[in-house]
Parts: sequence; C-alpha cells; structure tokens
Amino acid sequence: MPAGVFKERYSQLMAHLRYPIHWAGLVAGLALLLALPLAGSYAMSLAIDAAIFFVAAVGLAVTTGLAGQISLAQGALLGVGAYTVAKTLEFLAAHGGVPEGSALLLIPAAGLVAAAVGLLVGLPSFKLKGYYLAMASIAAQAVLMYLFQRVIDPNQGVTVPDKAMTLGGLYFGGGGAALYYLTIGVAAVMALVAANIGRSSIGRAFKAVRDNDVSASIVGIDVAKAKALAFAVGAFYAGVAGALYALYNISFGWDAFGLDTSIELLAIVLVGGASRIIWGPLLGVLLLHTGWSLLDDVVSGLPGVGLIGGADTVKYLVFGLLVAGFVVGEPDGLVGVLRRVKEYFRLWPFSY
Amino acid sequence: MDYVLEVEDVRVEFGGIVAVDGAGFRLRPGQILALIGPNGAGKTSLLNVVSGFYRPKRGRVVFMGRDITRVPPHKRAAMGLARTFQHSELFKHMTVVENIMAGLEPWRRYSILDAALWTGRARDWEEWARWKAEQVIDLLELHRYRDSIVEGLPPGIQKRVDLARALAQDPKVVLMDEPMAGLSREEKEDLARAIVEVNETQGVSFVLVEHDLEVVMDLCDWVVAMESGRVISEGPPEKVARDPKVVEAYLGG
Ligand SMILES: Nc1ncnc2c1ncn2[C@@H]1O[C@H](COP(=O)(O)OP(=O)(O)O)[C@@H](O)[C@H]1O
Ligand SMILES: [Mg+2]
Repeated sequence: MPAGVFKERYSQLMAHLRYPIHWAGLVAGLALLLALPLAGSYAMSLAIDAAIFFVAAVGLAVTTGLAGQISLAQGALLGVGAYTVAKTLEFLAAHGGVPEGSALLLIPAAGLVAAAVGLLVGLPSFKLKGYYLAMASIAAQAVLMYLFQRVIDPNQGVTVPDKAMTLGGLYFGGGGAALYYLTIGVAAVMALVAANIGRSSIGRAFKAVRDNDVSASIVGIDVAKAKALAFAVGAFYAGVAGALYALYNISFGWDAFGLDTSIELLAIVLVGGASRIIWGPLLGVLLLHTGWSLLDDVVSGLPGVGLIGGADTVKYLVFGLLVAGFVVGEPDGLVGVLRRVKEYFRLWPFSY
Repeated sequence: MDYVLEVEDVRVEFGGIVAVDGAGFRLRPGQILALIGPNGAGKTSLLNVVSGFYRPKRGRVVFMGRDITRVPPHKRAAMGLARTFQHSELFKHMTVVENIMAGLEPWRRYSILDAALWTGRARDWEEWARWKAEQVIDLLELHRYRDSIVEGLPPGIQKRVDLARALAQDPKVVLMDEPMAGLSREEKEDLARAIVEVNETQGVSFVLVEHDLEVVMDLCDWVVAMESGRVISEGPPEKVARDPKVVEAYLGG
C-alpha cells in the first residue's frame, strides 16, 4: 500500500478499486469497449469470441486457480451450455412454438444445467488429486463428448431459431452489435461476480483447500463441499459461455467442445496466471486465443507446416511448451511476469 | 461440567504398528495440560484422534459432555475445538490475515449468491471477520506481517499465525502440537506469554505437546507422560518430573 494512503475501514481494504488509477483504467476500458463496434464487424466478431472464451476461462480459473482442482472437461461443459439452449428451443419448437427472446432467458438456465453436470464431473475430486484428477476429468470430457455425438446431436448440427434470439426488434444472433454488447456485458458481470467470490470467505475456503486440504478440514472447512462448489461455479461459467457460443454461431455441432478446447482453456488459465482469476484469463485469452487466431493464416502459410499436420499441430505444440514453461518457471503466469516488470520500473533506476 | 475434554482408552494402529495403546487424559476447564514423552510415544497420533483426523480403533473422545468420536474433523472446529500443528500447515500462498480469516468460514452467515453480488449481508459479515482477525493480530503482535504471504515468513512467525488462526475461532480448547519446537528463547517466551494471557483472560484450555520441560513446568497445571502409546504417569508437573518411570523413559529413550 502506498505510503500516506491510509484505509480507515476494513471494507475499504476489501474494495476492488482502491486507487484513482484503477478508476481511470476502468473508464478508459469501458470507453474502448463501447466504441469497438465502430471498428467494424470483424473486430466485433473477434471481441465476442474472446469474451465467450474469457467467461469460460474465468470459470476454470475459479476451479483450478482458486480451488486447485485441475479440470480438463471445461470444453465439454461449454457444450452442455450450448446444447441446453439449442435443444430446449428445439423442444419448444416441436411443442407449441418458440417465444420471442427465449434464447436470452436460456443463458442463465444453461449455466445452471452445466453447474449440475459440473458437480458430477467434480465427484472424483473427493478421492483424487493432481494428475489423477486431471485424468478423471479427461474421462468426464470423453463421456460428455460421447453423449453429444451419440445421443444429443447424432447428426452433428443444431440451429438456434432466429425468433428465439430476437427481442424488442433487436437481433441477438451472429456477430452483430446487439450480441456484442450483451456478451461484453455478461462477461463484465461474470468477472465481477468471480472477483466477489474470490474475496469472500468462500473464496478463502477454495484457496485453503488448494493450499492444504488437511489443515483446511482441521480449521473447519468442509473440504468436499468446497471442492464440489468450486466445480459447480466453474461449470456455471462454462454453461453461460456455451449459451453465448450458441447465439454467436447460430448453427453449430459438437466439434468445438472437444478435449482440444479443454486443453486450450487450461493453457489460457495457466499461462495467464492461475491465481489471478480475472487478469490471468484476460491476458491468456487475448494472447493464446485471439492472438493465435490472428496468426493462424500466417502460421498455415509457413513452409513445412502442412507436412506436420497444419497450423493446429503447431498450435498445440506451442501451447504445450508454454504451459510447461509457465508451470515450471512462472507459476503466476503472465500476470506474474507483468508484476515483476512493474516492480522493476517502480524501483527504476535503482533496479539492481 | 468437570471436564471440557475427556479422551478415554484410545487405540490407534497403522498396519501392524500400534501407535496409541489405550491412552487417554482428562482436561478441566481453564487448565493447561502438557502431553510429554519421547519421540514416537504416540502424542501426535493421540492429538489426531482428538481433532478427528484419525479414527481410533477403540476408545472415545468426549468434548463438552458430547461424544465426538465420530464427528468429522471440520465440524469440531465449529464446536470450539481448535488445533495447531507440529510442522507448518498454514495456507502458504495466502496472506497472514487471509489464513486467520479462513478459520472463520464455519461461522459464515451468507450464501454464495450474497458473495457473488457482494450484498450487505456479505459485506457486514466480512467486516466482522476482519475485525475478529484484527483482534488476534493485536494479541499476537502480527501487525507487520498482516498482508505478507505466509510462505517465506520465519518459523517463529508462522507458529504465531497458526495460533492466531486457532484463537480467532474463540475456541474452548486449543490442541497445540510442539508449539515451541524450533523457536528461539525469545520467541518461546513471547508465545508462552500469549498462551497464558488467553488462558487467564478468556479461560481457554490448552493441551500442549511439549518437549521443553522448562516450558512445561512454567506453564502447565497438569502433565500426562506417554511412552510406547501408553500413559506412564500423570499429575502435577513437579510430581511427574520426579517420577522414576518418566526419568527413565527420557534418559533411556
Ligand atoms: N501416518 C502414520 N503411518 C504409520 N505410522 C505412523 C503414522 N503416524 C505415526 N506413526 C507411528 O506411530 C508411532 C507414534 O508416532 P507419533 O504419534 O507421531 O509420536 P510422537 O508425536 O509422540 O512423536 C510411531 O512409531 C510412528 O512411527
Ligand atoms: Mg509428534
């Protein structure tokens, strides 16, 4: 805390925005986000896509970063959210019609359905830790994928009806401005909610379980309940992100909810900085997800890439190395790197 | 109530090893009881039964008149039974104040929805919890370390944080496993003073596993000596210290 800035009340200490610079950053960020549609539809599409991944990554940061429960099923939980929207609307269409704007109402419902599935995905965490838990979540990912492919969407392809995405004359599908503002708004609220949970007693219980589950139980924390809750919260975020994914893509199949998406989300969280549940995912998404999609064409064009299986192979090679490097070298991820850079300049020129 | 804590005829086995073999003790309200004995005597195992981390093969634990032998560990803290550890078992990536406040989770009175929306309910409770933490920070003089990450703090400070986390829970009984081990003379005196203060002002009872006989003589009202999983002697400190069986166990062990 800077000298001379004394916080009178504990609640001030607990506030998210403690200094004028925080407020300035917030206002500048908001202005940028509000004005972004002026940059055209490609920019909007990139931003919507980034915001959807950000929401899913924040959820995973709660499960894995805060509570220490590794999950490689976040991609499938995204699918649970997306299919909740599409399949409920399909059901409504067959039974009397789709009410206007109903897809929007289904966003929180998708979160709740995914949270319930997330509880099941998290059950092995009562007995398993670390790599074993990661393996169990891969199994859960595979089971869900199997259900998508064989039971829920055997023909690989569902479509969200336009009427369900229209409300008050605004169309919330595809890459338009209405969905852009909705997605950005949802992402902002979800980020704030995650930060609030993080600074609450529930967040401390998550971190306590992550750091030392034996003493967590001795100090009175119900470890099994905390783990279950951490999985449910993370899955809720995946469900909401999946619902937004359904609106954004309008028509989609299960190929986007595979293990590769789960790995990408975990990479985003670990590379960004697992313990920072907002800034870590934000940096991770911008670099690994959006940054990579901008580079995709460049990488595909490089000589030899076609021989080793295309840009995707390169992508997972790079992601794998990044994850390994950050886990070993900088567990605080890019946020940790930035903090050190900031520290360096704060002390500059006496930085030796 | 004559005793706040009664531990009767406890047996703990690990595979073939009998760690605790029919040991027990009784703690009066406001007492400071020392559990002494050579390494491997079964003191830590016995404490683990009391805090619920081990399920005993035989015997029972009665706390405030209630049989808690089968109560899961996380529920015992909320009943007023706190515990500190022989080796640091703090939440090492959390700050000192977060460590202390984590121990207040059993008393949380708001839901995850309150947390998500940071409602008045959540804010008021958090304010109370912070105030509660500040009180033990005052008591144990941890102000300088309040916002430090625990990992990397000196061992003496970590022991104090551990005690602070237990005391913030307003316990009736605190179980402390070798609180003085690895501390400098000065740190020992500070910690002993804090224990005595809490004991005298708040009537908190303590069970201390302790090797330092000087500390035991100064601090404790009652001593229970263990060897090979059994209680070999108990009574007031002067009496137990002179007991030939205890002298032999220490010299022979
Ligand atoms: N988790 C365990 N697994 C196997 N043996 C154990 C375990 N904990 C303690 N023991 C054994 O039980 C006996 C008592 O140990 P302990 O309770 O740690 O004694 P003390 O705390 O008095 O030094 C020792 O022989 C020890 O090796
Ligand atoms: Mg021991």
